Amino acid sequence: MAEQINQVSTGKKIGFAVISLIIAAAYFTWLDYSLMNMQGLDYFYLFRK
Amino acid sequence: MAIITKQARKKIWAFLALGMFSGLLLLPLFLSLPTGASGADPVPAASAKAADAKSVEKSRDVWYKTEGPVVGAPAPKTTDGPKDYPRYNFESRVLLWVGLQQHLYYGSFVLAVPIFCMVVEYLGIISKDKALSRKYDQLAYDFVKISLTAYSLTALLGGIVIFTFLTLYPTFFTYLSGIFRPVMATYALLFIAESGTLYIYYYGWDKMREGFLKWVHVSMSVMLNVIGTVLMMLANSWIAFMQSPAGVDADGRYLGNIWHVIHTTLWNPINVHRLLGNMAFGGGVVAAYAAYRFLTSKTDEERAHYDWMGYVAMFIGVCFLIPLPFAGYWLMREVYAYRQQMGITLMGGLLAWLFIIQAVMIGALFLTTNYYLWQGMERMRGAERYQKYIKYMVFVLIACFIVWLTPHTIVMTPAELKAMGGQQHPVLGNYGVMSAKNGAINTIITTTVLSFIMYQRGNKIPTVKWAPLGNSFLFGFFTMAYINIIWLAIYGYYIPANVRVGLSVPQVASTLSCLFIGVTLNALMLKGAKDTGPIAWGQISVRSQYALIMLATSFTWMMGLMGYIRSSVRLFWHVNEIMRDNSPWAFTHTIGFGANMISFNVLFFWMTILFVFWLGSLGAKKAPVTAPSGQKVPIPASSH
Amino acid sequence: MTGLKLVEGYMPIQMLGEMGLQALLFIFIFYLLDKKMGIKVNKLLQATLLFVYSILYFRYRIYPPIPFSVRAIYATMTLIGIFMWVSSTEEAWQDFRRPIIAVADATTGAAKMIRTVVIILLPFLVGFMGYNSMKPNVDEPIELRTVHPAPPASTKVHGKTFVLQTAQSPFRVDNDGKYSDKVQNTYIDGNPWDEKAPPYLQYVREGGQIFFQNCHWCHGDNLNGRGMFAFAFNPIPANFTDPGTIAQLQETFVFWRVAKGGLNLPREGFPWASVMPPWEQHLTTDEIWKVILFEYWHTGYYPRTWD
Repeated sequence: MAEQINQVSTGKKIGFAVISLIIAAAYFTWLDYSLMNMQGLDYFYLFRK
Repeated sequence: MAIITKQARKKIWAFLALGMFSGLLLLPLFLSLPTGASGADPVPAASAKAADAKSVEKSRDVWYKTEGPVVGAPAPKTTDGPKDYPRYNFESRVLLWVGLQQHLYYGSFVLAVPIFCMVVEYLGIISKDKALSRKYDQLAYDFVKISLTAYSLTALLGGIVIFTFLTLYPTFFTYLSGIFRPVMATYALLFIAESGTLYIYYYGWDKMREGFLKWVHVSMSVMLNVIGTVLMMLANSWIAFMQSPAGVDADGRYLGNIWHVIHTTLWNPINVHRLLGNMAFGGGVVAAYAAYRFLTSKTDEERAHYDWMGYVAMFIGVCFLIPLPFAGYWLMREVYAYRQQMGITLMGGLLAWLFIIQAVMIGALFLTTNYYLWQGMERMRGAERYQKYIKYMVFVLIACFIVWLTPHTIVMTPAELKAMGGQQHPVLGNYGVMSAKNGAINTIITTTVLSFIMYQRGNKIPTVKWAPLGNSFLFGFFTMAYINIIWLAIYGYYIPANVRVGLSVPQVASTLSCLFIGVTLNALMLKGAKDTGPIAWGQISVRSQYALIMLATSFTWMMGLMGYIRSSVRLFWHVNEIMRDNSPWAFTHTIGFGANMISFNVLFFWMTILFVFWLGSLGAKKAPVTAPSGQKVPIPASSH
Repeated sequence: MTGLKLVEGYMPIQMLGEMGLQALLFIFIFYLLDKKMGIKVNKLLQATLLFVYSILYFRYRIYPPIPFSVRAIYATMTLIGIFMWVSSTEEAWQDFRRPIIAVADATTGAAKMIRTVVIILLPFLVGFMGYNSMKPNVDEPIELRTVHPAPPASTKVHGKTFVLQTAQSPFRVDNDGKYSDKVQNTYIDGNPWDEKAPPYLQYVREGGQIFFQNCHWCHGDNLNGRGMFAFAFNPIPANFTDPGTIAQLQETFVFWRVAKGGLNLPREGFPWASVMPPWEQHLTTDEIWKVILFEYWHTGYYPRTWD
């Protein structure tokens, strides 16, 4: 039923999903980093070692 | 014109009421400001003068490390015998335990229900839909009616507790009341104020139904709650003092500053934790009441009404359940900061097993909430498209619970120990530590949020232009949130402990992001959405109502358990490190005995509260039926 | 079963992954049977199959064997999950109930027979359970042992009082001799035998020597609790490479445990199932600190800190 209201091709949907995933990934990385930083800790501890 | 001003006025009042409500929630913070409270000043001043007359002996506060004049007597050194510990042919501690627990159950119920009343009555006033508004109002009235009987029971039980305490622990009681004399007097006065406000609030309901008077009525509920909260905080100061004493010197002599005695280090964490806990508990009890009425109702209208009531109560309860672990975390951190050994006794030592039982109960709470939401989708046409995802969500929840419940120290026979080759299991050992547990519980909460979003969309199809984009974004956001939570859990194994403990913050933040961003975005998408049919209130399965009762029972059981843990962590002290418990019952009970006692208390509470419910239904039969004609029950505005 | 190895170090996540794959497979099989082949398998049968399979999986797949208490938790959770799944929709619930109701109603001959058999067997089952619980048990009783008992606020070793919350290892120091919690990280791959090694690594080397003179007989040359005498004890000595031992503890806690040994555990440490000698009778305070320094350096774990 949703398709009748908003006709969007599958390709476009996949495109949206990929963009969303990238945005979300960036957001969570920023979240992790900044919240660890606020506690005076290093989020990328393992990779810097 | 007139309509606009009326609306504007309504809005102003709405903001005022909201401000008052948030002020109430901030109250513990205000009170925690470390200045000498003005109300408390006269007492120390007067006693200081009295002390000046004799040569003033000064001593050091055990917690604040300040100097102060010695005012009180030292903590008595008790001996086992009829002088300090008169007794029946029974364990005095257990008698007091039962009395206190029952008093607490009723106390938290009557503290929580006015808060609901306030919220629901307020919702009723701001609601634009007339029928819905009346429905909310009726619901608030129903709430307060139940709490009235419970209120007198609370006072009764409080009296019983005082008498039991006085007769079984006279020396200890004399010592405590010597220190808390002004607090106890204030407490009694506030109790009278609370009763007065409650009666006016209840009996004035019909008189103050319209216009400005209605706002006065709502403000009265705010006042009722402020008094109730202060009452609770004063009572909390006694138990906080017993656990982390301050304002006395090492001999237990009172140093004349009552604010120090009240404001011990654990006081505020306990205040916040109890306030939130009370509301979750109150939501559970009201939901159980609704479920009970649903199951016993004869007509479809009744069923629809109580189905709706159960949903609203459950919703409020769960809303307060979500911040509860954070308050608990704060309390635990303060306990560790106060005395590390107290923290370890709780989390890794003598009482650690009780925390595993707590984990089971938390598990039960979240599983039941999810289950109730899934069952709720049955009464919506169009929700079938989400039902096929339930099995995957069940799997995620159960897999997380398997991790969540795997104990750190495993119970095993010596034969099993040999077969395993050590205390630590290479697979399960890794589930036992905090990293895995945090990952598991955050995944569970995120899944619950997802269930809720599905429930919200059950009978709606988004029609906004950006719906496909929004859907993709929700999908992407939740996927990444899951990945992030699990990644942080695994990452925790590879970094040192002091960095690892910090990981729980972004983990929780991921969960909360899902909660806020997910629910908000979803609500925006559902604006003007196409309805596939109204919610058929009352057409929910009977199983869901049993789930509500189970939810309430879990709340009650968990409350009993956590109270027992908090109290018994003092081990063999009446007042930690100040006054020793020299009665024959200073030992810590076995886990089995403790669990049986908690179960007994829960059972006893539910039996008596059923009586209260029954009383409530007696009154309802006399009153004319004011419920709106029930062909189509409106939907709560807050959630749809 | 042995063909599919559990990979050391990845076992926990592997187990969860396997569980997920099996669940997907389960769903897929019944999807195929239903939609492609037209065989509708009753929910009760599906649920029973899944439950039995999960029990077998936890019993035989995971090695070393999982103790019964944990398997009981897992089975209960699985059962709850299965119940939530079959009763999640009214349709599934009716499908699940149908065979049970049919047996209870017993309208057909077969159902009648099953009902009769069940009614006869039920008392026997109860009787068997009663017999089982009354039967005298000759196994050693289960101990709820507290592995890490609550420490005292302070401990006195060789006449000196250490406050556990604030004491620091005198050897966890940077090159200037100041306490540093970063130094272990800096020299984690350093060579303690290097003559020009920084003081920290020198202390680690000395600690290692003390470890191999005194501790490794029980705690093992790989610090994994499997020394040559280890299996003479029950429970076996602590495994420092496990994330649940020293990695969870403060350095001062370890100091207290080593100094006081199993004999001087506090009251909550009951039943004191530890035979570790009180090392304060054999080592100096400095030697104890150095051994602990070595244990953390060798395992790569960091002592717990509270902030």
